[in-house]
Amino acid sequence: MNLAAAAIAPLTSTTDAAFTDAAFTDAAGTHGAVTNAADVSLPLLRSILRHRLTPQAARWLADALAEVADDPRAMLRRRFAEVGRRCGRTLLTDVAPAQAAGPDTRRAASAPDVASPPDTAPAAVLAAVPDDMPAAVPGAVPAVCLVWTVDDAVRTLLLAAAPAPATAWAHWVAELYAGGDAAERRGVLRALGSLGPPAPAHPEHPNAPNNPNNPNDPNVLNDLNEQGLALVTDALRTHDPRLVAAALGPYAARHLPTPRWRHGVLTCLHSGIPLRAVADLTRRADAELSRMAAAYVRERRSAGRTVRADALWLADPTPVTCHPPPLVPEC
Amino acid sequence: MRLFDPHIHMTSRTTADYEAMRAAGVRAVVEPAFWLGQPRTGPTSFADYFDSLLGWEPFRAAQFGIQHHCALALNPKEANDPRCAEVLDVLPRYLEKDAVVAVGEIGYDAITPQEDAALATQVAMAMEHALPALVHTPHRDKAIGTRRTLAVLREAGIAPETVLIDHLTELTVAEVADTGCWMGFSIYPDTKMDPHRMVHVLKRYGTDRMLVNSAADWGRSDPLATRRTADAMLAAGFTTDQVDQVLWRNPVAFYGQSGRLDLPEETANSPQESAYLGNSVLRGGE
Repeated sequence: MNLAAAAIAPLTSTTDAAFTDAAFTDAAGTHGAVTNAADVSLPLLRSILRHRLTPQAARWLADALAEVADDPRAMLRRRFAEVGRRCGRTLLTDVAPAQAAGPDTRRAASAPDVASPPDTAPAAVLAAVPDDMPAAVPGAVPAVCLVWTVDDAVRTLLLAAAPAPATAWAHWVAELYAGGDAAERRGVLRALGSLGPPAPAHPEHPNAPNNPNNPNDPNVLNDLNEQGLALVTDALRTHDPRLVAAALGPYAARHLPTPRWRHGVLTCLHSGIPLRAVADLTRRADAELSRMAAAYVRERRSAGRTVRADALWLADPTPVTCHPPPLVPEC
Repeated sequence: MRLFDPHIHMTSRTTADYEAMRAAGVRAVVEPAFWLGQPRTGPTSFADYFDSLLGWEPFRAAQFGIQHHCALALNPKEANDPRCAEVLDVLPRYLEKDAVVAVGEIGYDAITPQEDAALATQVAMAMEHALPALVHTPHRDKAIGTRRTLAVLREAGIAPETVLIDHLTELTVAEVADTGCWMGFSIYPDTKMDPHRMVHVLKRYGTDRMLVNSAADWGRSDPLATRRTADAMLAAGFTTDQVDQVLWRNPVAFYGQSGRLDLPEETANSPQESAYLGNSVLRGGE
């Protein structure tokens, strides 16, 4: 038996695998995973999905992409909703075809190309997974808080396939989020980072005039940013760690104003989400966030409770370092 | 032992919890309006929720001899959603209902300008409707949020004795103790307070103006936390009268300022108290 495939196999039937050392090592440590914090491009998603979808799922996706491009108003909502049962919900790991072969033959290397010409997965994105990333936290949050899933990736491609004249992206993301279940909402939040524009010079002024979708129309970008921020803010109001984490991906790192972003990070501390889920944490962390984290640590200690190591790391007076948040969950 | 849980979200609890609470000694509760795990998207969601707090929950509670009152408000978290802010237009009508004994929970979550506005507006509503105010202190950045809350209340000019500052801890109680406001403590597993620490706070700060609640909700929480705290107080040497003060007379005195408390006759310890706590004075002299 192919050990790598065997290690992955149990996860294929798990929707929300609890975040444990074992599950994460298998999913991320062995093969590299697309993390919540990583900047993920559309070509990368296409590349990985080629290895991960069954032939049947790949055919479904190819059809769905064509349908959505042709008639988004009629097809996008419907296809967006059924992605999980059509394509699967496993964690998005960069499994090479050779590794995927073995007992789980559904992931055949012969899966047809679902989108563009062959791409090479940018190593830099997968390298965003630290070797030592697994950090089991008591009261574990689901693994999807830290890693993309296959259905997240497929939903991003569906959104990208929708024609985007004028304010279409803003329209679609708002529409799909408002009418979506938790998985669809997570899919929208994750897609924001891949569909969204490059970072503004200052997060406090997110509407920088630069739009890859329609460079001549700054209104498109402004609308997407405004709508995306509304969704991120909504997700941060939920108590669903899957949505809170997805809301703090690269899109929020680029565009969410600092006061709201800081409170998002604090929400992670209060809801058991490892800080490694937060995109660009080391760059955006500032003295005020450190003060808030220190207050959190003091409150936990005064109550005689354990304190997460990543909270201590953030509370350190010199938090802006090149080191990622530490792994030891409690001390 | 008679217990009054001055802050519990029974909407999120089962009817079996009411039964267990009754067996533990709970005879009255106040359920403040707050957020659900899922954000609401408009004022009609709030209206349905308020109707439930005024209709269905009192019915469920009454089945087990528990008197259910409520506090109504737009909570701080959802005050940040412009789609929800319209609920402030219908809130005054609800604040006139018999079972509403306070405006709450109001206060801060992420400490935003929108939360500033909602807090100030609703403190004014409390004063306008002659209701006490139940003020939530934030989970994140609690000390800063508590300080800012007190400043807003001072500026509004609301009488401190009509304000309950809730979810206090060892780190925030001192700041509130000198203000004249009532002090609320939520006994809640893993976050907030536990019975043992509560006893220490009571030893240090005394039992006047002190309220203890379970804040039980949809999270990992305990609807019997009031009873556990009462037991911990007795074990630590507090008298039954002190337990009764913290877990019955204090909440009755605080919410009684609404003039709308309607407590079961059986909970009175004496005919004199019956006249005071029961169905006459506090309900408007009927």
